[in-house]
Amino acid sequence: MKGTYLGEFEEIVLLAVGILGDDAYGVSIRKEIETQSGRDVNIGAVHTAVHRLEAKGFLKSKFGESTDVRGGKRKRLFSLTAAGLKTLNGSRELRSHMWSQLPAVLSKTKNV
Amino acid sequence: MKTPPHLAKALLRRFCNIDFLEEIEGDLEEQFQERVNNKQYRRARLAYWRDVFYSLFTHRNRRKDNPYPPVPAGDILQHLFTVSVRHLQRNKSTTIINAAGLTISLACFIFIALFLIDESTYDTMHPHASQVYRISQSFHAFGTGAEETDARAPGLWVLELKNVMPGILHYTRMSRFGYPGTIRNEKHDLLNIEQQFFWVDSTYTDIFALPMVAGGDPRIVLRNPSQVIINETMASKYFGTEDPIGQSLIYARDGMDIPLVVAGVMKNYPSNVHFHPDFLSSNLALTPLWNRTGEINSSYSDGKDRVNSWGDSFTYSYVELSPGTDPEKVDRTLRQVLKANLGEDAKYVWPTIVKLTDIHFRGGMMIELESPGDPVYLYLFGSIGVLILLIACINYMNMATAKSMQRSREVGLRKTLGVRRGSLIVQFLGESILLTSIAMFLALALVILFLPGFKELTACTTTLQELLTSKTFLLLTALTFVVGSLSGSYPAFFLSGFRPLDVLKGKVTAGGNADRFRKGLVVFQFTITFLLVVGTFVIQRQLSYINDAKLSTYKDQILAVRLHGLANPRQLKSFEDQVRHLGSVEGISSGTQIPRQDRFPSDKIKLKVDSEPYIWEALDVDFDFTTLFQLEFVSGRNFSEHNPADSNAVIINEAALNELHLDAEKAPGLAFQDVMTHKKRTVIGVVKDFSIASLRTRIPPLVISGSVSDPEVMYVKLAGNNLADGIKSLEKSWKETFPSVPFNHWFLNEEFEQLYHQERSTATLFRYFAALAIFIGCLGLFGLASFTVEQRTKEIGIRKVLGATGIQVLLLITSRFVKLILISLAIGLPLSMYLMHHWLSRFAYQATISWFVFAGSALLLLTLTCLTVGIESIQTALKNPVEAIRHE
Repeated sequence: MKGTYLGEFEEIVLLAVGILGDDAYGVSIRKEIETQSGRDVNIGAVHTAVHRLEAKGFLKSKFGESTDVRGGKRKRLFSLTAAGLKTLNGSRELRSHMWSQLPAVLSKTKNV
Repeated sequence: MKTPPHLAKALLRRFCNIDFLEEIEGDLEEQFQERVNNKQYRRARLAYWRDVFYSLFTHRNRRKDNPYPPVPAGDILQHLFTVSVRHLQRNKSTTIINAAGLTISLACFIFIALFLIDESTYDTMHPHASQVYRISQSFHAFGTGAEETDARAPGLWVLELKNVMPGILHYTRMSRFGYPGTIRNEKHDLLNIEQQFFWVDSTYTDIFALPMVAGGDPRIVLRNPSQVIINETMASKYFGTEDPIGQSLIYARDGMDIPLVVAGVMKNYPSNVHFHPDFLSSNLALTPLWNRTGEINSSYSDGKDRVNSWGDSFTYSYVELSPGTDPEKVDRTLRQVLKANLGEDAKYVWPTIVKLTDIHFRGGMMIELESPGDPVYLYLFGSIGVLILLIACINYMNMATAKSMQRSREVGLRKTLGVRRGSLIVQFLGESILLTSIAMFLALALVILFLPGFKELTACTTTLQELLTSKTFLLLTALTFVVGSLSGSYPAFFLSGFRPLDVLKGKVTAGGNADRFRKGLVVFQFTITFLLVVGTFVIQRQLSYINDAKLSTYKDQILAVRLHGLANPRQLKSFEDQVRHLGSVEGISSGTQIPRQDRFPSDKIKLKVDSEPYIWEALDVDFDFTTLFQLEFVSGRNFSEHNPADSNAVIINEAALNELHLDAEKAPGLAFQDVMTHKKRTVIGVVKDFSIASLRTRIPPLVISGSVSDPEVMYVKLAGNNLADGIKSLEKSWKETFPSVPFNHWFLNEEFEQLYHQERSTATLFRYFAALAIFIGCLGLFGLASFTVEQRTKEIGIRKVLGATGIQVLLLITSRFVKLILISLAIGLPLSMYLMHHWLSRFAYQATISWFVFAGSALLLLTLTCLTVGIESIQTALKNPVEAIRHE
């Protein structure tokens, strides 16, 4: 199933949404990614990602309040769905499972 | 606060997917403000642009993204249709009133259009009608020197013109020589007077259309002096069901027979042609007549060919010009031709050139083929058609706006749900067009039903087959749209203008502007109706005035019998003596034909009184004429059998007396000289003016002489009430005296009525149209009244509880409408007076129109209004007020 595959950027966006909790919307998600990873991400890329993730069922959204600084427009607040959380978990488990099978040399290098 | 670039924002709003627009726009704005706060305004603007483009790439508006696809047009139409039909069904009375009004007015309009089309397309059936011109002869009238035009011209004019002018493609000439002619069918022992016998050139078909039913090529037939083409009516008249081809007919003229063989049958010409031939024969057949000389009657030509002559105005002459040729040039060339061939005489005559398609409305020519049309009636009926249509449209507007309260909720709800005003206008216009289409179908049914009656009334020959063409349907569809849009226009803009908030809160009430507009429309409607009613009365009065005019007092008892060319004058005397003793005959006289038709030149007498010249009308009759017609003598005496000198005596009328500036008492004994015969005539009496022609023109000075030699018509005054028996015994005696001559008779009143045929059919049409206009107007009033009553039910209930009587309630409602009608009358009165005066000025003798006509019309309208409104409101007025108030 196409929808279950999670890209790298998508994974980061999902994580950012999870971290932000109740205040995850376009601008805040972008900032979170920037501060966490130092990557300068375009807001449009964020929008594309969240909308795709919502379509896949990993995110859900509702409208928040409007503020002056937004020209009176409402925020769309995103939050993780159970499916989103499960996919994140699955992704982490896959990684740690595979990490555990790496030869010791390499795992040492990683630790350096 | 700084704002992001407007253009970028506008682009975003226009092209971004609507579902994501709000969050994206908000996010971009927030980022922009953040950047601005970092004192990077220019960079913030650039970044905003970049963000917008990025967003547009990822979230541009794609059709398939729209979760609310537009409803298919078919579904919308179906929905609107359902709503319209429901609305029409719910308001049955309104629907019926509107549909009836529109149906009747559309049917009227179609009929009037038929009449107008028929009148305005005269002679267009001929193949190159726009290039064809008729050449007539104008001249200075003998005596008075006034310029007059004979519709005909000498035959050699166009013949020579064709020779000298290259721009002339074809020419043809025709004459009604011998009008009216006598046709015999010996096999069936039939003999008839035929007025439409045309002697033509073989080039007839070069210019005129000639649709044939049977027989040979008309070009060959018309070259043969022994053959004739007859039309379908004549074929069945003379030969019944037999095959007419090869049968023989005899044209009898002044004791000379021209035998003819039927070689072709043509279709009857439609009504909109300026002549209607029943017979067409080659004018070569007349040649034997030209060769006869020395006969007693001057109508023989003493060896002169009258068809091919320079001076004898004998043939109606037509030429077809090559495209681009200036008719002015024809005039110039022809004047040169005349100068070269006529010499001195060319000074007194000149050509008058009229386009074929203009002949019908030209008028004013002598010996015109048929009575010319009068454009005044075209305008009259055209405006009536439009006005009746307007009245029906106004009904629709009034009803639709009156019922607007019902629709206001619908409008409010639709608007709240996002329907734009434009779509609402389309919806309401569609509704009125739907109703108009229904009315149009019903109107077509009416037209088909009443077409035969209409044809009889207007002599229009349009058949149903000619009507049912795709062009007609296209025009009718266009008419439906125009009328539907017109009647729906005001309601559509009015209804769609409601503000949804006001409507849903119940703030909109019927009244205000719309109410005033409705009142204005009602006033307009009834002004028109009033004009039509007054018009009907005025035309009616003028006609009855003409009917009552002198000479025609006993017209319905006076029988006219045609003599000319049929009966031998010597035998006539003995016939008259024999008939005089019949109990059913009161009197008998013979003389020239009356009434005189407008288009014929009348007999004139040129005379000198004390060497002063006069040209007066001449009436040649016998001694009994004045007695038979009971002419009133102002002075002097009648002709007398016992006075032999009376064969040179004359009686004049008052108009002649006025020209002489003489007292009536001095006139008898006055002598004058007849300039033509050099005979001395003595006046023996003066009679009051009486009409011998149409009363459109003034009664001319008249000289009655009692010495008729070859009378055209015999007048018999029948006694008593049993006219049918009188005619029977008269005919019996006639058959005994003149066994081979048909008893061709008619009542004088029929003849006089024909003079006013146009007025008469106008009057009849006017009556119908006025009645229909009143009916449609009253329908509208009825609808409005019922609406008013419905609206004020509660008010009336309360008034009644507080003690108002039924009469007071009735007055309350009717007074509202009576006021409007009074305003209409105030406007209509001066307008109708002006128009009436305008129409009457066409007649030399006008009926006096008393105030009663206006008062009567006004009263009629008021009564009808009160009745219409009263019927509707009386129920409410008499109802128990409890019923009105109880329901909330």
